[in-house]
Amino acid sequence: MTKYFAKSATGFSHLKNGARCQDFSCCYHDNERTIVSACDGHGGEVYIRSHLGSKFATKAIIKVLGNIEKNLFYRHTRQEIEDYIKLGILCEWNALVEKDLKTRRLHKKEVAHLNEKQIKGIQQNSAKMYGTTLGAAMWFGNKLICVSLGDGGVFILSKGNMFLAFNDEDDPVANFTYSICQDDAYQHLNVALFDASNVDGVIVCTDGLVNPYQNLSNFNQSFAKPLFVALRQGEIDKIDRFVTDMAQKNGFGDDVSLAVMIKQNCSLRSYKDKQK
Amino acid sequence: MDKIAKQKLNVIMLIDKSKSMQGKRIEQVNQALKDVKKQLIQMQDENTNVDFALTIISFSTEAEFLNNEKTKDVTEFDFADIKGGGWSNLHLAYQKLAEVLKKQSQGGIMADFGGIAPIILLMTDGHPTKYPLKQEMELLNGLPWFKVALRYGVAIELKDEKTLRVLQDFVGNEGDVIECLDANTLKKIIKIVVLTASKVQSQSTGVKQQSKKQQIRQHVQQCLQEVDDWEW
Repeated sequence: MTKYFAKSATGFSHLKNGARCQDFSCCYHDNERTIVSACDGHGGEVYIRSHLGSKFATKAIIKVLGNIEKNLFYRHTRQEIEDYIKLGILCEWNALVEKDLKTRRLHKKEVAHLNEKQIKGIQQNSAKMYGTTLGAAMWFGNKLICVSLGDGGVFILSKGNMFLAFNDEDDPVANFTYSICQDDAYQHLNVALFDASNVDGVIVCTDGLVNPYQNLSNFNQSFAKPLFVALRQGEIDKIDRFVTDMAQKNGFGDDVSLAVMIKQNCSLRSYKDKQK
Repeated sequence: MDKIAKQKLNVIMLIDKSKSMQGKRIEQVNQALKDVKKQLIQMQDENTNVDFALTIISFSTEAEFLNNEKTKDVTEFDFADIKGGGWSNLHLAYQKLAEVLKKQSQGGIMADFGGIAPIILLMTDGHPTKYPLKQEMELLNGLPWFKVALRYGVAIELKDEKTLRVLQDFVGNEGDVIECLDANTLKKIIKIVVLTASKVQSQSTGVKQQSKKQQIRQHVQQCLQEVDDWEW
């Protein structure tokens, strides 16, 4: 049995400016699979529809991962499967953006705060308005599929330890991030398949949640382990409140999204004993 | 699920302590370091967003981290005076710098997630023993944290084109090389650069890094124009 949870909360810097939450997170569960996803719509001036971009990203992920069938793993190599998922998510997201652009044409009011150069930029690449990062994971039988583009993170929990699903030394730092709206998004979209047998849980979160912890070890000790225990024990209200507090009081003011899933039957000991 | 830390701003200084730095120059550097520490602590007390951490790499025949520590919170930073002597092996200092400009989980001092672009100040008074430094610069330019860093160079009583070029390569297009024509003003120049950059960089962390870089450059230039009257 799997337990899962997802929540997004508006950061205090956005609340102060009357801006809406640009993050979006969700869970999907059926007899075969559990999917969790958290996406972070960009906050810059030109990303005027990034709150939709992040929503479309989770929709695209759930559609593509949700359609995967077991025979895919028998018929194709790991590389082919990863490429298939990458292409599927990007095509689906772009299709949702195109559809939205057709139904809700760009209004003057939306771009009133932008300068000429910025307006020209989004006219040349309309998808830019929807810019977002993307993070997700799916449990599917004995497989774990992780997906990531941009900052935030996908973290795998195993016997009290935590690993980053993707750790690229060349990734941008200091609040610079890759985006799904880039022309070369395919190059930066990471998809990886893992053996799920030793995996106790997966945390997917946006940078608003992970950045305040600054390093992996602090994130594991101060957040991941207590979260695992709380979710195992069904303390959903506590987790919910924590995400809101992180966005509104304790964090750096950014929107916060958490999407997590854990195995209900794995041992709690390594998560309790190693807590400071 | 608590223990939220403030953001950390790393201030990294590469200090030439070769023989030619002996006397007035190194004396000014040592005084500047003490003043910078004091002022950064005060700035940190007034700023709820950011904590400062110092990294000092001194180099002559060898390059080393001051007190053998890659980084230290400014409040805990304690150091004995740097003494001059030896060659000017800047390439070794670049290697040390590359060591620290990595994520903490990879052995460096930078945040694994997010983080603020560091401030790096290189000061030297003579041409490096090894020249050119192409390989070392390639290594640094390949590091994401070096690319985003605010980089400054201080040329101390230097009339050597070659070394100025080395400093220019180090700071790149977005940094500045400041010429210190009189060693007596060195302390002030170090303080202007480090404190002004730290102050602006530690404020309004939501501002785009690119525009902040410009802001810092302008502030530093302004202060340098009034170097004789400048008081912190």
